Amino acid sequence: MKNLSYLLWAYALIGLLISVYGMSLVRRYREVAGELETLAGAIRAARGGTGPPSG
Amino acid sequence: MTETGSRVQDRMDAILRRIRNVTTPLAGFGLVAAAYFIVGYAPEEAQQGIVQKIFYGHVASAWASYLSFFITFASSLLYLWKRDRAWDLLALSAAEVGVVFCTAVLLSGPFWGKPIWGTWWTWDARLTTTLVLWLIYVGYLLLRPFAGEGERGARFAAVVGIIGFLDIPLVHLSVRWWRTLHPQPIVMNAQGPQLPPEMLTTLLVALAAFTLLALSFISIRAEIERLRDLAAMLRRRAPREGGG
Repeated sequence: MKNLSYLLWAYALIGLLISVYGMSLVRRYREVAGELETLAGAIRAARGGTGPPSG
Repeated sequence: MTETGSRVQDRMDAILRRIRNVTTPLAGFGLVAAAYFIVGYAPEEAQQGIVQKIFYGHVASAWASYLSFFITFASSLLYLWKRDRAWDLLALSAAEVGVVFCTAVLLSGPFWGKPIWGTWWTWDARLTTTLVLWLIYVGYLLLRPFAGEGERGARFAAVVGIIGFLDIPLVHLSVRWWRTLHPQPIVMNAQGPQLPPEMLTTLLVALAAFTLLALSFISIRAEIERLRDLAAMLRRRAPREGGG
């Protein structure tokens, strides 16, 4: 089990990197999806329909 | 042409959605399976001991970065040929994912090098060409916003995306062309894979998991860019619809 800490550090860094990137994708996806919803609501409201509640 | 993109874009959206739906859950299973194989199935290498198991994550990350950069390369060529924004968005998405996996290679390598070579880093041909590859695509991502909006910026990015890929054969062949501390290829060589079956199986599982993960990331990242385009289009339309 010599050098086990090197192995654990290597996989911890790979895992951390992949997790952080995955979470950043989710955050960006939610951000743009939210913006789209707001914009679509604004357009619907301008056309005389009802948009989603605006905060 | 549709309102928000070309016919190529619409077809690409459908393909990427299908890829995302398949690869995302499979990548999750694949990573769990890879962890099981690395921890419980692959034997310890006789000379290097347990630290050799870094090999599976290191090589799989390298493969995922090559695959991503290849997608950037092919999409950049197609962009220059067809001038369709869909290819530019795919190239950008794949370059970002490629940089993430290339970073994983550069981070995991030193933890293998230190106990085996006695040093965290050496200006060895393989390590240096990999660092150059990373720098090229980090440059690609950093310079994109400064290259200008629209076709000019996309054209510039496509050229960098193509030139950057030319470093990959250099990375691969560097261990043959120069004296290097880095091991010679033991899977992709003329004699076939030089690994015991348990190690080869583990490597293949890790390669499959990282391939699925890279494809999942690229398809999600491309979808984000596509939605941003759509949002920009709606922002332009919103004032008109409101009578502004």
